[in-house]
Amino acid sequence: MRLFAATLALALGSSACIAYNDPCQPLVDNPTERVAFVQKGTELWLDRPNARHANNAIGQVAADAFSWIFKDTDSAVDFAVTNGGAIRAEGLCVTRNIVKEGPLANGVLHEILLFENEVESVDLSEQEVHDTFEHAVEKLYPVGNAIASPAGSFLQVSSEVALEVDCSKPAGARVVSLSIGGKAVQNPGRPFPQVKYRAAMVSYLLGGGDGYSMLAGKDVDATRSPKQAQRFGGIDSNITTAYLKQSTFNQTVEAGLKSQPRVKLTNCAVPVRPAN
Amino acid sequence: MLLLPLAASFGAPRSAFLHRPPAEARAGEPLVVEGDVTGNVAFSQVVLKVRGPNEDYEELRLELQYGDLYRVTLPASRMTPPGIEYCVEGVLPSGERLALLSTCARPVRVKIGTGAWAGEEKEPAKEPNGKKGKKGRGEPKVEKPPEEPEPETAELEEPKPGKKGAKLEAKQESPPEEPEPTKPPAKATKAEAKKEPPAGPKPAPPSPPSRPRTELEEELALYGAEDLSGQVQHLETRSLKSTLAPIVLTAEQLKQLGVRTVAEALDLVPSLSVSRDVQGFHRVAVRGLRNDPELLVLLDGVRLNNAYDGKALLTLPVETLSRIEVFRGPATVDFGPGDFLGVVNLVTDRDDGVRLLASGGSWDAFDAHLSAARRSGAVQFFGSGDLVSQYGFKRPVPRDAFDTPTVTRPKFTRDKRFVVNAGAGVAYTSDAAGTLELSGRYLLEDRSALIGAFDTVGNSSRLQWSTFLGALSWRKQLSDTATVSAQAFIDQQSTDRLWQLTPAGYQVRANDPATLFPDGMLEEIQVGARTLGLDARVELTLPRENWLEAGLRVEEQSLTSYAWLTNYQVGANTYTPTLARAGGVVYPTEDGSGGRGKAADRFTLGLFAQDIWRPSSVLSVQAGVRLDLFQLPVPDATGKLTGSIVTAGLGPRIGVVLAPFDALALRLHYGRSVRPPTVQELAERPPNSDIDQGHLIGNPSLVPTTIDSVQGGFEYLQGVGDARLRLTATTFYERLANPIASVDTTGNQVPWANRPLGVQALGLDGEARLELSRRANAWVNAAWVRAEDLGTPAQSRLLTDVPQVRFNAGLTIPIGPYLNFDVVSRFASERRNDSRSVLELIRRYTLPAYTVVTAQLRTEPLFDRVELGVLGQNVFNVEYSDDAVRPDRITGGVPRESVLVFGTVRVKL
Repeated sequence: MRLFAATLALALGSSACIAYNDPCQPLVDNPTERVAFVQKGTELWLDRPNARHANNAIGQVAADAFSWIFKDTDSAVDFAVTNGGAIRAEGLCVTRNIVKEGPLANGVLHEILLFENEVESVDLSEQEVHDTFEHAVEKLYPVGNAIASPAGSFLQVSSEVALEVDCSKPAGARVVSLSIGGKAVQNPGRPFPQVKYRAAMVSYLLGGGDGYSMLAGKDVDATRSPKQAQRFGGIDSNITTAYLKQSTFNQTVEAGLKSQPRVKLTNCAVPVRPAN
Repeated sequence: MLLLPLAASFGAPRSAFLHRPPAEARAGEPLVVEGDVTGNVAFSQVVLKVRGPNEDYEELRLELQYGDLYRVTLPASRMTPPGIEYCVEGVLPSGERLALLSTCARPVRVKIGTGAWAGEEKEPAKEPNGKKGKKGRGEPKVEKPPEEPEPETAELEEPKPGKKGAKLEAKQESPPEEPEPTKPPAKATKAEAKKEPPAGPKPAPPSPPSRPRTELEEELALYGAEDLSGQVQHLETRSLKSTLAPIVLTAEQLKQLGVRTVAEALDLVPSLSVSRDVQGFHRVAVRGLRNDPELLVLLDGVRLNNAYDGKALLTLPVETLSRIEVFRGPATVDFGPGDFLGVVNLVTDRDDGVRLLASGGSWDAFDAHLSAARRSGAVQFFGSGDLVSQYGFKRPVPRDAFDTPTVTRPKFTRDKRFVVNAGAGVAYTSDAAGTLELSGRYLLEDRSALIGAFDTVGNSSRLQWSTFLGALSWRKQLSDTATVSAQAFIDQQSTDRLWQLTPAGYQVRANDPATLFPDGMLEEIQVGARTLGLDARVELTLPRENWLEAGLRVEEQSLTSYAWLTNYQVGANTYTPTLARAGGVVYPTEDGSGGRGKAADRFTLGLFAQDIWRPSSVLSVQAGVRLDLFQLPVPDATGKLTGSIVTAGLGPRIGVVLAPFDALALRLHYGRSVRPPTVQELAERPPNSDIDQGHLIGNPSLVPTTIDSVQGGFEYLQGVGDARLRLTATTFYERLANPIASVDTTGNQVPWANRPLGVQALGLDGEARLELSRRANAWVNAAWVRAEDLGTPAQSRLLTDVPQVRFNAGLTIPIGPYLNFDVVSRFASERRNDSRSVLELIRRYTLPAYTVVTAQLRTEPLFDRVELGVLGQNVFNVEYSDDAVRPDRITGGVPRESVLVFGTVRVKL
């Protein structure tokens, strides 16, 4: 037992030799700077069901930002998307399932969009666009089911996209209607490049992440005219920050962020307000 | 043991067994004979020959304890009046024997009881320092048996003129206890003769204390260390002259430590930490860094690391090993390629005789072990085998990827394992042919996954791993100064790993019956990998105390088979009743165009040379360089491997050891080693499906990684009364350039990548060992390391997924004449997630510090042949865990073994 006691004593004495990374170190230099307001009377819900199984304000403005960043370039896009799995509640030090109304700080936004993926744009065929959205919704839970393990592949879309989904239908046939910029996307799609859609998204998706095999490799395919976003480091969170700061969301709390019904979900399970 | 041939070059003193015989012993009680073997000769074993009056000699093998300390217990049945006589000999690999303690013609004599030897009182015994002394306790009383002939110098190694061993030989042949005057050695030099104390009954004058003693005198003093305290206080020859001394765990130590597998043994080595991953593999971290292909594991000199992924089978039992040697950091240049973070050298037991062990215990554990060897003339046959079966411990896994915040299903670890290890060989030795040896070994491990493939409990997973190792080697001493050796070897490994990725009955899409998997989603990966090689080297003793070794090694590594099968259609996630090739997967054996994959074959040519120079008796310098030429595939702009190039890796090593006196060695060593990416790291392309998110994938753009290692330290031996205290300490700094690591940056498939700016680790470790007697010792070792990834922001650099502080301690004490009690404690500090990427940052986990205690009760040899033992591992049933690759899904970490109890029977025939 004396030996055991000596072991413990040394173990306790050794604590001074042990060091760990500071998990709370801000990811940006100006973490308290306001980038937008969360609209008065609303909240941002960041838990997995609300990020991956419903329209989400942060995901939507991120997609809008991806579209915005290419707006005045020679490769303006028709639409943009980001995956629900990119919206994180974990934070650096605290889990943040709810962001309440009021100012949204730059540090918080970077913790929500913390992967720091590059934003790229490519040309997609009509069929690829359709398949992309079918894949995005194939794992949604039909109504009556608990949203047990929502897939991160669910896409948050930019304002150009109008999508209607019926979760009572089988996977692969859930997209009821899809239009981009007011034009319907046909299924089966017309041949490429006769009809093509230019889309912006994070490099993760163009690497085939979250099972998007129809997107994999398009960023290295010259026929798809891949382009990287050049401003703000080309990074998703930085671009979103820049977009929000110059947007109306950053003017008054009444005009702040709020999710839009861009994806109409029918017969799908609906997530509830999370606990914070 | 690998360094012993190196030591042989120093042209240093003769080998001797430093031992103080007791004046007398008690009848009917075992007598422990122990001592250090000095000198530079590599013995295959050390034996003691003992006899009673008018009896033939019986031969007993001395067991290596640690360092150069050997020990044997003369059985009680042998201890009968009037006494015993014994001598100690070293057996060379050729079978030739060298006298180490007296000679068997004039053995040491120990009186027992009141019986008298013929002629016992005729001459008074002489004290070691040459004085005549009284007979009495504490003074060995040894006489030349009148019936024995005079010892002949021919029995001993021929001393070389001018060599410092000549005088020692004279001393050996006429030990200080010998009352008769010594015949001067025929070949002693004039200078040495002057130093020779005058022979005859006249006491020799003591040396002036102010005059520094020559090395020879030091050796003589050591040999005559029966003086004063009777304690020999010097480090082993190897320690005094090796710039990079390995840590050695002998069979006796392994027994006392209560370890059953190589992995368990390695966890007690300073600066090593062994963890288990979700798949159940044992992973060894060396100095805070952990990467399977970077720890070179050798079994009798043949590499165990799989040519595909670099993993080595660490669940091998230790019972048929004679020792485990561990180098931390790059070893000497004669190892390699592959000696990167460290080297583990496993040496099987080839001592003559038959040894059996059987044990059984918790969770249906049963194992049996056999090692045997027999020499018949110039031929030695040897073999060993292990058979291990266990159901394995069962601990709950709180959560996995298929649990929800509100719904969990009962899940447990499964550590079922069946291991077969069988090897045999034959060695033939003759003066003309040298030593020719042929050996083969078959290893099989068939087990379950401890948790599963990745993030889900899959108790139906089944992992098979078979290995055949074969070697044909030859070694011949061409002259007094030149030895050549060569070895042809083959390593054929086959792995067949069936992973259950989801629970049985899992349905991917709720309303799609085609996605229902009755047995769960399955994936089977089959890999065959073969290495063929030839190793040749020459060792030369050069003038001016130089010893040179040079060699080359060629090897061809090939993937002999490869398959990636699934029971689901990639993408559609629909069920297929039979396992079939996964869609979209390009095998490393294929180039995608009908040809052979560029990563499937690798030719390596290694050249090395090293010189050991000993400019003075207290200083040794070792310098060497290793050049390895690797065939590596190269990618085109799209990342496809389309060609191959030859890449050179240069590994210089230099070290110095300073031994200002025989109890202290100071060391400093620098080494660089290069490791090319494995085939898996380059070319594994698993299917990109929903269920495979998180798989590691190959990266064709990887470049070789390099380690620069500097380490310095000391080793000190102090006699404390009748005990020996050994202190060692090492401080180190290691810097890795282009380290290959898998850092999850996406949550999707994770490619191996060269980390930018590199990784560094610095730290220190040390050990204190107090040897009180053969049956009583205590030791502690501690290690501290700080490892950093320099490619991340300053606040995120620390690598904390392995313990930064380790502390191990052990105690062995006798309980009465027949029982021994061993206790070993292992402490590891708290571990936390690394922060190299935001994913690692947010997938936070904390694995608390733990202390695990092993206790063992075992008997001394009963009836000289049988030992019984009861071993308890983790006796306080401490719950501790290791890190999981997805701590956000396997939230409780990887549970480690619960309390385990085993009963053991050892038999020596």
